[in-house]
Formats: sequence, structure tokens, C-alpha cells
Amino acid sequence: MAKTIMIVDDSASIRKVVRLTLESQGFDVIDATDGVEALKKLNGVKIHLLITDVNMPNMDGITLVQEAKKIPAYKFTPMMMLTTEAGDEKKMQGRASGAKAWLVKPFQPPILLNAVSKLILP
Amino acid sequence: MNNIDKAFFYIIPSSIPVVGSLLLLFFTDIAMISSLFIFCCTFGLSLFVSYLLFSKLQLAQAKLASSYQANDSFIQQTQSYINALEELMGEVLPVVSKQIKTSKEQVEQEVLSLTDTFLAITKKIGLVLDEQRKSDDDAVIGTLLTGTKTILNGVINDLCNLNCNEKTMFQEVEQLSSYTAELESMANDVRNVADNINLLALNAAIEAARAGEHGRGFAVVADEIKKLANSSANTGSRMNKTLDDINTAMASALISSRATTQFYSKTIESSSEHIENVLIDIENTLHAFKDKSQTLADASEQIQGEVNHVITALQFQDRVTQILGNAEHNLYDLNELLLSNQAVPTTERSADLIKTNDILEKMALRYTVPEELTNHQAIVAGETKTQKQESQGGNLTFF
Repeated sequence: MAKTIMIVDDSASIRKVVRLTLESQGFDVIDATDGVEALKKLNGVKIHLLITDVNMPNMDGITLVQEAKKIPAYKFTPMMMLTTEAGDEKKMQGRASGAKAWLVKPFQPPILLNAVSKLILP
Repeated sequence: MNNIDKAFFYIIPSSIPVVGSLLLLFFTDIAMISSLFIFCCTFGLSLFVSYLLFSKLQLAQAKLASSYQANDSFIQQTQSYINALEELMGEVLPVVSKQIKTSKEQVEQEVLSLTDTFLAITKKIGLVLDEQRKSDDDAVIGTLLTGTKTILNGVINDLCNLNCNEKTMFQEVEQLSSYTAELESMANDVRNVADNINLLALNAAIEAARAGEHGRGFAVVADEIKKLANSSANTGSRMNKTLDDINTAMASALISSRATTQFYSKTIESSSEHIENVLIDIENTLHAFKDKSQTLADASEQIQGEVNHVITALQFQDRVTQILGNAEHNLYDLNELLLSNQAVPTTERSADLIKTNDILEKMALRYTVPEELTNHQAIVAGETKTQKQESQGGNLTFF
């Protein structure tokens, strides 16, 4: 059965290219435009990985990871950041929130897929 | 300076010699005439000094008035310049913000359309390549080739076996013809025995006649033996005739069989050649097909590399949108500052209302793309050329 990945980004083009990259490898993809919409969609649906941008309107990615980790169903779901931010301070915030990886945009598809294959649980 | 000021200016210094002369007159022994002389001298001197001072004062006053006028004019000019600058900023900042917003929206819209088109193309290419992968499976081709060879070789073997059977039958018929010679010899032997028996029966009949009445019985036996000998001789003759017929039939069958066997041999040989050629053709076609598949596989790999490159490049929109968005916010903040400062009365405005460092720090905090901060820092440091920063895109960190 195909694994499901959620991509959260306010940029429609990023959501599309991430979807293309993941679907080409047989993953199912759910997307959301910001943290609030993502939390609405995390209503018990099984996801194997959450990929989120950091700077988004309504709710940023770091808060989203913190909030999602509070939901029992997603406590152990691996989460990673996909952002243009490359500063160490922000990375530390991401790490503290519970994210497992930090990938700086623009990403190359093989690198994203490498990160996904290492993070996703069998 | 009005006339009253002028009068006071002359009267006050002039009053000093009057008071002095009176004091001298009343409190000293000085003569009236001397006192009058001193009064005249000091009064005249006082008037002269007053005149000089008044002239200088008038000159200084005129200069001061001129200076005030110039200063007023400068302040007015500066104020009008500031007003014009504020008006310009108030008009320009919203326009530039609007232009940036429009550019951001257009870039986003166009890139989305471009991304959609690209995704559609990629999906179609993927479908074509998948179909290709399915059809050029080496194992399928190998199985097909081996299966075809086995079937066709089976057909050749069946035909060969058929021909071998024909040959065996031919050999057996040939062997039969050797038996007919032996049978013919046996038939001749039968005829010879019959002739001898016939001769013997003749001799027995002669001897029975010579014996007279006593040999009559024996004559009957001799006669019967003669009949038997004739019958055997006839049988031998018929056997010979039958064997001749058999030989003729077998010779004819052998000729026919030989011709059939030769025809089969040639047909099998020709069929084998055809089948071999067909197999070679199939093999060549499959090899060509495999080469073509390899070319397609190479092209597929190249296409995948280029697709990855385009996917990376398409993400420029996200960065551009963020940079433009931040620039738009920064301009908006400047406009807000301008509007709030305009609300402050002119007399209360001071440089403290514009805290440049605070504004720059606030701008720097907003940046999300590394290049924004690099540009900002370089310009604040007064560098005319910004150093190109190595993109950190694709940098992956595991926690």
C-alpha cells in the first residue's frame, strides 16, 4: 500500500513540484497551504511523513510541528522542514519543535527523495 | 527703531553730562562758567558718541533684519522641500508597493501555469516510457525467442522423423525383395521335385503294367502320384508368376518410395533453411529492438535529469515571491511611518521621529531568503557591489 506524505506550503508552485516528485515514486500526497489548514486535515488520516515550509501566513511551520506533535496520532510521525531559511538559529528552533530534518529550498528531487526514504518508517 | 527709542537713545546718554555738571556746581567750588564749559564739552561728546553708537546699532540692526529674512526664507524653502519630499514619498511608496504586488501575483500566476504545463508533459513522458519499459522486457523477449525456436525445431524434428520412417520402410521393402529371390528358388525347387516325382510316377506306372493283375492297385497309386506331381508343378509355376508380380510391384513401390523420400529430404532441407532464416530475422529484429530500447532508456535517463533540473529551477518563483513580499512590506512600513510623522505638528517634528537603525533592523528581521540579508548587509556597509552568495539550496540537515 502506498505511503502518504503531507506537504504544507503557501506557495502553490512548491506544492505542485513536491507532489510531482513524490507521486513519481508512488507516494500518495495530501497538501495544505498553511499550518491551520494542515491541522484541519490532520483529522486522524494516516500519514507517514509531514513536510512543511517555515514562513507561512496564519500558522508557521515550526508551530505546526509543535501542534501536530501534541496530537497522539501524529506524535511519532516523522516531520521535516522545507524552507528558504538557512540560518542556524531557525534550524535549532526546528529541531527543538521535533522536526527530524531541514532541507533548504530550492531542492533537487533526488535529495528530497533521499531525505524521504531515510525518514519514512517502513 | 521708532522715534521714541531714538529719543531715549539720545536723551539717556545726554542726561549724564547734565547730571554731572549739576553735581559739580552744587557740591564743589567750581565756577559756574567752568561748570558750564564742562557741561558743554561732555554734552557735545555724549551726543557725538550717541550718534556713533546709534549709527553702528542701526547698521547691525539692518544686518540682523536681513539675516532673519534670509533664515526665514531658508526655513520656508526647507519646509517646502520636506513637504514635497513627504508628498513624493506618500505618492510613490504606495505605487511601488502596488507594482511589486502585481509583479508578485503575475510571476506566481505564470509560474503556476508553467508548472501545470510542465507537469502534464512530464506525466505524458512518464506514461510513454512506462509503456516502453513494459514492452522491452528482456526476459519476455528471451522467452519469446526460445519458445519460437523450440516450436520450429520441433516441427523440423517431426519432419525428419517422418523422413526417417520412410527410409526405414524403404529399407524393409528392399530387404523383402531379397526374400522374393529365395522364394523363387524355393518355387523352382518345388517344380523340380514335382518333375522328379512325375518321372518316378511314370516309372512306377511302367512297372505296375509289367506286374499285370498284381500291379493294378499300384498303377492307380502311380497315377495319383503323377496327378500330385503335376499339381505341384503347377503350384511352382504359379508361385514363380506370383513372385514375378510381387517383384514388379515392389520395384515400382521402391521407385515411388525413393522418389518420395528424396522429395521429403529436399522439402525438409528447404524448410529447415527457411526456418533458420526466419529465426535469424527474428533474432536480428529483437537485437535491433533491444538497441532501440537502450537508446530510449538512455534518453529516459537524460529526460529524468532535465526534469529534475526544471523542478529545481521552477522553485525560483517561491524565492522571488518571498523577496518581493518582504520588499512590499518594508515599503508599506515606510509609508506608515511617513503618514504617522505627517500627523505630528511641524513644530514638534524632530530627527528622533525617524530611527533609521531601528527601521533597518526591522527590515533585516523580516528576511527569509539568505540573499536578502546578504544584499542588505552589503548596502548598509556601503559596498557598491554585492558579493554573490553561494546558494544554500538543497542543503539537507538531519537532526
